[in-house]
Amino acid sequence: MKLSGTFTTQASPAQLARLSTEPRQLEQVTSLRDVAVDAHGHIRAIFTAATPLGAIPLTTTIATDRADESSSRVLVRGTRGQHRVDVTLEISYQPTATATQVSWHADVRLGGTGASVAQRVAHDIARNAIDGVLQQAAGQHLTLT
Amino acid sequence: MTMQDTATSTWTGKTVPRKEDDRLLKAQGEFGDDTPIAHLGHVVFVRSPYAHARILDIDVSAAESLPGYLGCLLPDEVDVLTDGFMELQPAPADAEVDKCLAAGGKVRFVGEPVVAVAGTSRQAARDVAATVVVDYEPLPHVVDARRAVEPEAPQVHDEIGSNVAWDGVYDWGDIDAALKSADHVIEVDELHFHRFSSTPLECSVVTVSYDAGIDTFNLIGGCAMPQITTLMMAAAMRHPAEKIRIVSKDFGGSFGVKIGMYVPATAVALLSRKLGRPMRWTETRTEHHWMGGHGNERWFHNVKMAVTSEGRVLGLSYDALDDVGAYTRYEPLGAVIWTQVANACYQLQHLKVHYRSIYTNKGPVHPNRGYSRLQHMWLVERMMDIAAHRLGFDPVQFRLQNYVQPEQYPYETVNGCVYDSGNLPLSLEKALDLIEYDDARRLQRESAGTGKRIGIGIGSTLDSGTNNFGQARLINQFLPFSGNTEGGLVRMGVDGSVYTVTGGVAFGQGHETTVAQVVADMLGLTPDEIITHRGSDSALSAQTGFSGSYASQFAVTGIGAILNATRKLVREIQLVAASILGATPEEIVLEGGHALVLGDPERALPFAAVAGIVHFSPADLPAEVADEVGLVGRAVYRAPFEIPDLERKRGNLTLTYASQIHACVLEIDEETGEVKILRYGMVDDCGTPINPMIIQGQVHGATVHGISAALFEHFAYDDDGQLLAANFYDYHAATALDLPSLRYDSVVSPSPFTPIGAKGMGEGGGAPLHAIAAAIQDAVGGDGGVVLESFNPPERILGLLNGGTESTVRVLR
Repeated sequence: MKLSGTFTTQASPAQLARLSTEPRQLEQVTSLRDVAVDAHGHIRAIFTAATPLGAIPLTTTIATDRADESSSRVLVRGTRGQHRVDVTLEISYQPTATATQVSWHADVRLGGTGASVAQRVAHDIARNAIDGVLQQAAGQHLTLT
Repeated sequence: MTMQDTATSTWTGKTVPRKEDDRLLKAQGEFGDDTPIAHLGHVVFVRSPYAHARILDIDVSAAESLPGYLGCLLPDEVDVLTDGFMELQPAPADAEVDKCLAAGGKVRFVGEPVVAVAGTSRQAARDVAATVVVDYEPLPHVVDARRAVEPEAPQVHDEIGSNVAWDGVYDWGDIDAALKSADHVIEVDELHFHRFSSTPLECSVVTVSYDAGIDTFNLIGGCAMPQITTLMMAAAMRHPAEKIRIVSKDFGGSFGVKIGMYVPATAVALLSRKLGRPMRWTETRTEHHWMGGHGNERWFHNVKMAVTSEGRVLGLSYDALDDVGAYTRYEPLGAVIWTQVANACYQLQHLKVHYRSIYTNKGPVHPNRGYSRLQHMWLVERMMDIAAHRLGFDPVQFRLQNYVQPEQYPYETVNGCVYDSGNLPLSLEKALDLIEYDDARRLQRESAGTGKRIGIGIGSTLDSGTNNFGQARLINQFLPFSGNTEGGLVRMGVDGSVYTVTGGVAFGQGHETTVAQVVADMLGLTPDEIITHRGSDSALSAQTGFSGSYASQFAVTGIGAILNATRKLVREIQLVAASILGATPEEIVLEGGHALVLGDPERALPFAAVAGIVHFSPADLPAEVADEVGLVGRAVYRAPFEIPDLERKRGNLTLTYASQIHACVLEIDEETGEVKILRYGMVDDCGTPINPMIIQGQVHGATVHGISAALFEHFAYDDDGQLLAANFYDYHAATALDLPSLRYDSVVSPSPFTPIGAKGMGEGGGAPLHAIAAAIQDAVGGDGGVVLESFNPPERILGLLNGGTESTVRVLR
């Protein structure tokens, strides 16, 4: 499943590039809790997705594959029981005169039960989830720094 | 034994309403989830969302604080407590390790159980399962058997060294010479038989109560093969088989796939023992689609058929890749089962098949209605059709000419199997009558240019029944199996009531009724007066090692055992009555619930009196009679088989061959590719019928299954190894709304080899796959593509209308 989105933020590209590696900033995202860094240096958190069936908490690992001031590549894996969501997220940062335009492209792969019935609703859930986390994290960045 | 042995045939052969339907239609049946058990815990499996992955960590800590959490079973525990399930294949693939939870620290298909959790309710167990966190390291996976045999393919089982579970060549006759000398040779690069399953109404349910006092596991659940299942579990759990008891009550369908229940049942048993309370696992539909057992998916390559200029088919050769999924849970028996019908319906003289069973990262296959045979027969039937079209023969005449002819029975096939009886030409004639063949051709002509295309197809298939288990030695010479037996028990209770217990496990076939019919005839009673034990109980003496319901055999083995058992009871009744009535046993006949002296109806003893004397007043009997008579007849039926010739891979592998000849008329919408079946005719020949209504019901069921498989049902996987149809939203099993009114007729060719001339039946689900593929081809015509797939949804039919497969089919001469 290929998803994409764009938004504009006041955060700079350099600030944005650090987003996926700074647990303090991610802690401020309302859909994330229990944010920590694991032994591999990856972020571990509980991400709660809003779905038509209610809130579903996923144990989530966020690994930054590559990040610089022009773009980042982030690998996200969420699991809950026998559900699985793997996301490869490509984020690019384009400075404008007054802000930064963030464009993201996600390759979302569902596994287990998530690939069964949930595939019918996963598109909107995943898109809203990714966009929501990114925008909120970018906005929180301004608050924290 | 012949029909005459059933004293009279008042009931045998008659349409008698099913005895079991009274309770089933009133919702008074007792299926797996119905049995009330005190203190019951519920089990839910946490399953793999990956096709292939290493398990890095399992964290169940969050579960421990949840209300209703009882405990869990982890792979590490299973590794300590169990050995791998028995494997049938020889080395090197016997190194496969298969356990009830993911073995060796890896998962090998989406849906494989990793953790079993238990809760005080099913909902609590689900909540617990959702908190279990399993860390996986994804590994390269393979979901296409063609890719799995490449040298660099990811290996499903590292310890084996390849993805080949079994590899062998069958070579009967001289196909090379036939292909060299034949007037015509048709060659097809690749055909594909897809994955689908039986979708029983009731998914699996297993309840296990471990009785610590006697160290015994008591199982309740639909089990199609109880004694083999106890052996599988016993060996894995290192527990005496005698201390595993399996009871089946009402049973909502198996069609072969529930043979694999020993895998989840072992996990449930271990949890029951660990937690000290009864445990139940109720399979969801998604779980069933993931792991409940798919039918064998098979690729056919390098297919060649030799045909004479007169239209006589000499033989064929091909290479088969049989995709068995991640574990060989009944496989690689499929590698030999197909040879029961090596000739299909035809007088083939030469056949050569290179067969390989291949592991992939997909759900394991299980026997599925028509197991392994329908794939081969679909290939043969497809090639018959392609040859007829390409060489310009009329498809009806082409088949008629090549069918095994009525006067040729018993007919020995290329591999030494013996087709017992049949009349295929008459069956085809009747099938064509059912679809009004000439009128259908008229419709076809008139449809030209209307945007609709009419196609007419024929499907010819066989349902081989009553296995010679010696065939297992053809895949592994060391397997200690041969022949076949079934058990049966008939007894007279203290009040003269007659009870029967059969080793078969009915899952909807009406065994209670057919058993009652034949016993009633032998005892001079009515079927209503016969009490047949529901389901099965592995601890009762009615079962033998091969007992169960599979392989189309109950009408032969189950009924045969019951007849033998009833004969013993009859003899005991005769002994008692003769001694009381002052006659010889041979003078005693049974009629209307009495034992009476032939020709002197005044000298009669009611069955209640016979029972009363034996059970309560044995001193009334001569000692030699009282010592011998217990009013219990227990007997086995032994199918007359020999061990096959392992060197030549020859021998008689099944006792009976029911035939199903189907014909259909369908309409294709050129714009959408949608198929509408206009007429469907089915002709069944299963020898002497015991209950025609039950036969007709099973023919309807098998036909709907086959139609559904041909047009709707497909267990496809995506490149990630995810099953694309893991629920009934995506996996459409046909309903009445998808079907025309089915037209039925029958031919009766009694088997000369069975107790009453009956044959096993009910697995004729292959015929619709053949008939529909042929009809689609007929509709597409010569200007379109060639039907090379068994599954043909609208998008594939649109592709056929646009050509595209033409280059893979060649007429070499």
